[in-house]
Amino acid sequence: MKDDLSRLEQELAQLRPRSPGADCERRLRRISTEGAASGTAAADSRRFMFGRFWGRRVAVLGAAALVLLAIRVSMLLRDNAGGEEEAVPVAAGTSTEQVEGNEAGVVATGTVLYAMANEGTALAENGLPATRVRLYLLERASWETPGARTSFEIVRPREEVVYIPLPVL
Amino acid sequence: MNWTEWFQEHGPGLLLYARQWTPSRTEAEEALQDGFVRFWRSRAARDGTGGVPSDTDLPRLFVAIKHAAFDRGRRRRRRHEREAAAAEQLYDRNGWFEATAPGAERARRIGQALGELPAEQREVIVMKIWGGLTFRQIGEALRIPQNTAASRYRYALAALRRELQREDATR
Repeated sequence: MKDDLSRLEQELAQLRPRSPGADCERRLRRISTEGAASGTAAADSRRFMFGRFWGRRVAVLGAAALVLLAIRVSMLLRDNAGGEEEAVPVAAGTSTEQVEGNEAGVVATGTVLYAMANEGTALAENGLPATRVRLYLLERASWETPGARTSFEIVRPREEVVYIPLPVL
Repeated sequence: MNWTEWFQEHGPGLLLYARQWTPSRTEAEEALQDGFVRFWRSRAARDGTGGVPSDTDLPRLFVAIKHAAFDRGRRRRRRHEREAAAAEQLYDRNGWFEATAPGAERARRIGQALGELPAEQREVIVMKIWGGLTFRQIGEALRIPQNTAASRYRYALAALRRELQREDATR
């Protein structure tokens, strides 16, 4: 009985768990190196968030608000452009003239930011520590077919991740 | 030991531990990163040092990874409770171990059997066998008596053996 367990123990010990990906290793090495050089980026971010650097905290929150505003504006611009370029479906087998009143068209679009999640400190693409924020959005488009007096609405959930740089102390 | 050497030695065990609490490898790697950040943050606050963890840091690193994985799970569940519940049923236990062709099936079955163990037993077995921790270190990390850690380990081994034998018999 005990031998069985020992054999199983040895068999388990010979199994090698899969290694983390090279990208994961690289990110951690970078955090580790930066941490060693400056008392860890994470600790800096903690001091930044909860410590005496309230001025910088206000600055970053302002930057975050600007980023969100820029995203919102770009979405609105894109929605408007998309509405103009949207292909209008035409009933099959009919000519354009005959179905003119039955063409469906976008009458309203909008994007709603309904939630945000702070996912903590991470490395942005440029390798610098940043706060990762996930945005939860709903994109809505209302269509109407005046001739047939029908309408429908498409609501599409979308997530977007933005990185808000942390100041290098 | 430099970072790369250290990570090659301990990374797989830590990732396997993270995978006990996460539905996918990607989530596990995210939890691993969050855990390291927590760990470095706490160590820097305590003694102002960063860099490569020492062997005595390992238990705290395991705990930091577990907490990070739990936090990620909570956030995920809050957002997509039903999806998360479905995802938990689909936890990928096939890819936990590296395996060459002759041993791949056995490794897969061991991964499956390990996944069936109660979480409290499974984490002890991962910490002991692939994390290289002693029962004393496991007890400290999980805040349980050393003897409890040892008995959970023995129960886990016995349950694993039973499960593997049962599978052998049905083949």
